[in-house]
Amino acid sequence: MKIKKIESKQFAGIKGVSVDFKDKLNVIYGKNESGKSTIIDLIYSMLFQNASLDKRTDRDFIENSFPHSSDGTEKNYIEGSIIIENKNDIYTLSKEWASKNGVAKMIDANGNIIKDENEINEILKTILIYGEGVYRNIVFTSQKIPQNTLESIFGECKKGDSNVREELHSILMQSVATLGGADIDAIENKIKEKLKMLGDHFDIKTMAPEGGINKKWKKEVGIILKAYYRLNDLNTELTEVTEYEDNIDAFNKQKKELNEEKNEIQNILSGIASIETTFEKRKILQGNYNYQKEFEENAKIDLNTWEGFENDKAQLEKQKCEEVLKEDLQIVETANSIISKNESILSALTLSAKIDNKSDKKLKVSNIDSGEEIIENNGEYDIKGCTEIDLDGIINIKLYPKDVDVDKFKNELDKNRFKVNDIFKKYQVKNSVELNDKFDKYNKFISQKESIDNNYEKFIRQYEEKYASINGLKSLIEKAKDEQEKLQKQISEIKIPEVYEGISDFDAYKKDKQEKINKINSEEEIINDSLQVYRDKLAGRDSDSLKEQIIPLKDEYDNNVAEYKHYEHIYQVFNQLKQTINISPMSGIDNLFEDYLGIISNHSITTKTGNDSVIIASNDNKLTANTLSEGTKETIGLAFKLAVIETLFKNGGGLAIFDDSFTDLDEDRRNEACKLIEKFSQNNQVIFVTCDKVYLGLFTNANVINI
Amino acid sequence: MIKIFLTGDNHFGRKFANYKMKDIIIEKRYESFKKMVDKANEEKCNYFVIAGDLFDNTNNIPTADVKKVIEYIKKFEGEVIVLPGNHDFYSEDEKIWQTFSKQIEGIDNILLMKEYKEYKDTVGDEEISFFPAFCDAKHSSENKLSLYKDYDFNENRYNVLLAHGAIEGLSADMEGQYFMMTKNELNSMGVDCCLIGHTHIPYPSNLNEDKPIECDGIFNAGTHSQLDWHNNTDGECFIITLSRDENKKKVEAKKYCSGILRFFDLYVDVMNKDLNLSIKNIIDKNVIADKKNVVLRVNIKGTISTDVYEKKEEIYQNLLGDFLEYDKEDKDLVEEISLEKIKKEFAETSFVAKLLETLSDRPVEQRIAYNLIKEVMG
Repeated sequence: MKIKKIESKQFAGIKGVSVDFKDKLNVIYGKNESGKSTIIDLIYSMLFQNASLDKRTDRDFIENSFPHSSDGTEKNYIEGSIIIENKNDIYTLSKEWASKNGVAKMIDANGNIIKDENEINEILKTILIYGEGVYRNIVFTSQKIPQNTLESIFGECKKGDSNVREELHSILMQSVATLGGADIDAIENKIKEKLKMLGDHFDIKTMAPEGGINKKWKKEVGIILKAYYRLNDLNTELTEVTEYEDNIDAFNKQKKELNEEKNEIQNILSGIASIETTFEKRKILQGNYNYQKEFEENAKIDLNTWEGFENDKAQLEKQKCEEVLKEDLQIVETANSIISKNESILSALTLSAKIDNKSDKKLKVSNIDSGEEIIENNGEYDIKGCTEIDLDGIINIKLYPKDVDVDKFKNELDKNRFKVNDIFKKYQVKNSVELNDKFDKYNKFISQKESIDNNYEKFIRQYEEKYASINGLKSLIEKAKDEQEKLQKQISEIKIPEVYEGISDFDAYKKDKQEKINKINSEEEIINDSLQVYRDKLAGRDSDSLKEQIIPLKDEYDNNVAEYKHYEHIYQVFNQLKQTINISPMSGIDNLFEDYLGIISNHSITTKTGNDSVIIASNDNKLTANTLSEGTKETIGLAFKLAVIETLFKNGGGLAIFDDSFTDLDEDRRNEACKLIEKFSQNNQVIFVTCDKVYLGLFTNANVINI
Repeated sequence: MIKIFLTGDNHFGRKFANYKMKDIIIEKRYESFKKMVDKANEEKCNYFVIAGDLFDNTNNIPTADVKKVIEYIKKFEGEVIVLPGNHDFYSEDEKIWQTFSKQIEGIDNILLMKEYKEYKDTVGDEEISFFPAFCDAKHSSENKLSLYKDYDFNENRYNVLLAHGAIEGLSADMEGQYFMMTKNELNSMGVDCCLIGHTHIPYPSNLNEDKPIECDGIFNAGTHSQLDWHNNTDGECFIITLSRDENKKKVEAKKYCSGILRFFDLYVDVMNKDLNLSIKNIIDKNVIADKKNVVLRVNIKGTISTDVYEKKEEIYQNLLGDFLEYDKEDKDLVEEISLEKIKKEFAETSFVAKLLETLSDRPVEQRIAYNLIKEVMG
């Protein structure tokens, strides 16, 4: 793109201006206030300022570009036209700026007239290649590039594995990235600052303060954490208030239950007076009943005993028992002892006999004691006891131990045996055992009889005294039964409410109930105190109002969190982008920059490779942005700017505007700068505005425009 | 025939602290209350039943509010029945009821039902009994219906149950802490009708304003005047008629719209970058009340052009300024940052231009980044 011509009848301070430009270097020369800079403003406005103006958004343009008349009134008419060449096509654009109704007109290469400003802007966009930002920030801006860009140029770049060229390119790309925008580090710092301001000491992952939900940070509390604490405080308060309310509910419930219990007891107590007499009456009746019942039971026992006695006595009367004399028992005993002794004497002889009866007389061998014949025939025999041998009429032999009077013992024995048998016969018993039994039986009978007689004497007297007779007793029992029945009926007729049943002691009962009431009263007092405590604690607060209060706070908190997340995402995008700055390279910028550096420093300033980094050096001395003189900074900045423009407009369509530049440069630097511009203008258009004649001599091949 | 006017959930004493126009909001709610009393008198109702939550809480209601409420209800020409709800529960000595009882001394047509018992009354030849199942606590997992479950109701009388609590399926009571009851439970009580409070939306919802219709006997009129954004109701009350049709008892009802104040919570997604039309459409579609009586909250999101963005407050004022109160939430409404704008303001070769371009699919973040860059550039 080349600017061929600019014209204006009226624009800011200029009137009736017409300037033709050449393709390469153009120098606009004029005195101060001659309107040189206004021409540059006009070119810019022709390209970027819509004809229809908005009073609000275009306030600065209106303020600066509309001429002020001498009487202070504003004139509302300014205009201009520009001729542009692009790829050998000529475009003529004219604009009349006015509030709302501005007019723009473009005649394109084919002679078409375009009046729609949007359409015109679309065509301009194609011609200009880049947006207004590039023109405003790079093309039309001063060669004094921002400090941060400058620092970026002098920034070291770690070589790593890549080569010097790549690194230099990388440095320059980062510098380009700051040009016409904002300092990347400053943006990063700002994002971090915002993240810190919002999220300081707050962990967005756990949505809690760093260090846990209970951690109370006092310093560096971010906005989110502040909102979190506020919300937390309110939620804690809500929990507290809800708890108080629940406690009040619970106490009220308890109180109510106690009240019901108290009322119930009081009802019982107030009913007790009327019931008391009835109760007493029933108690007496019950006592009587119990007495009758007891009497009946005892009388029945007495009757049983009495009848038993009578019965026993009658039975005994019927029984008979033979008397056995004790002296008979003793006689038997003495006789038996003699019998036993004599028997043993008479049987104490043991003999062996060999008998051979040679006669025809009968031999009789018998035991002396028993008289029993022991041997009938001849033969050998063992003989026991005193023995008598008698051969009929011939001989009689008695055999017995020496010194024993057999006859006497035999006689004594027989006598005693007779005595015993006599007594046995008397009592009709067979032996001593039977006799003893009979004696025992007799004795038992006698003692039983005595006992019955004794008891009879003892109890019956009593019973007779007490009841007169058995029949008398029986009728008393019947009477007691009747009495009980009667009392039972009377008792059952007395109605006592169930609640009072079982009371044995009314005074104790009343006392017990009163104590219960007292206990309830004191419990109630405690509850009332507790209620008061919780009401005081509530202090007019209620959970619903708190919930209402929490809503906007929660919104605020959520909004803060959302904002934090936005910043977090922006930071993420930022970092990704930062990694890819070199990926869209502006190839050739490094060569151009080195060329320009060489020109302005007579090749004393070069890019060099340090040990492991790339630096800009002057005669092997590393240069840094801070150690440079303002003049050197400006010339290096100029080299960079021109390299950028030339790279942006690769096909030579670049444009650079210099408006009263180099005023701070010394002569040498100025000369270098001019060399640089001349070099640049070989392939690009330059409009150099100055009020200093010296430049007219410095540029060897310039189109000088005198204003 | 007996006529009962039913309201509830009036929540007098609520401070509306989050609203700028709180005084007007409170006043308009009183105005609706007055409308109800006038209507009840015009309809010659025998009873004016307030089924709980007449007041907003138990311990923090200014006496002036209590007096004001009493001033209105004492003008009712029949009997006023006040039932404690969960917000203004009665357990024994709550401050609100102490104040209320003191203020109604000497007024013989206001009855605070604070005992669980049968309240008998006579209207002409008809006999009626009220059975109050009022709230005795702020929260309760059990309702109070069991008190009358095995009650031997006299069939010859009109038996009316009064209760306050959530009705399953009608009101949200996720935690079951608001005296929850079911319709089946109410239907099986054996009374002629149940007058319930708690749910702010009216039930049944099919009543007419002019002609009464026969009903199943469960009535929850809801709040007489909308209280907040949550319950979308125009504020109703019911007029219930108990009569006999050949000795068979009949329950009919109609509604009366007492509400003046409306709350609307609107969500606007800006279409075609037209903020004005987008808001207008949503308002036209949703707001069916006089603007002067509407409290509006508008949540707006979307992208609009710089021109519109700069004029948005003006647009809000034009569209919303006539409402009683409006609150707008437009943090997600952003000024569009077009590629042109980026190229105009920044060199497109610059990092910031690229950053803004990359964020173009997230307008909110793009805007934040833009502001941040501007802040950095000074």
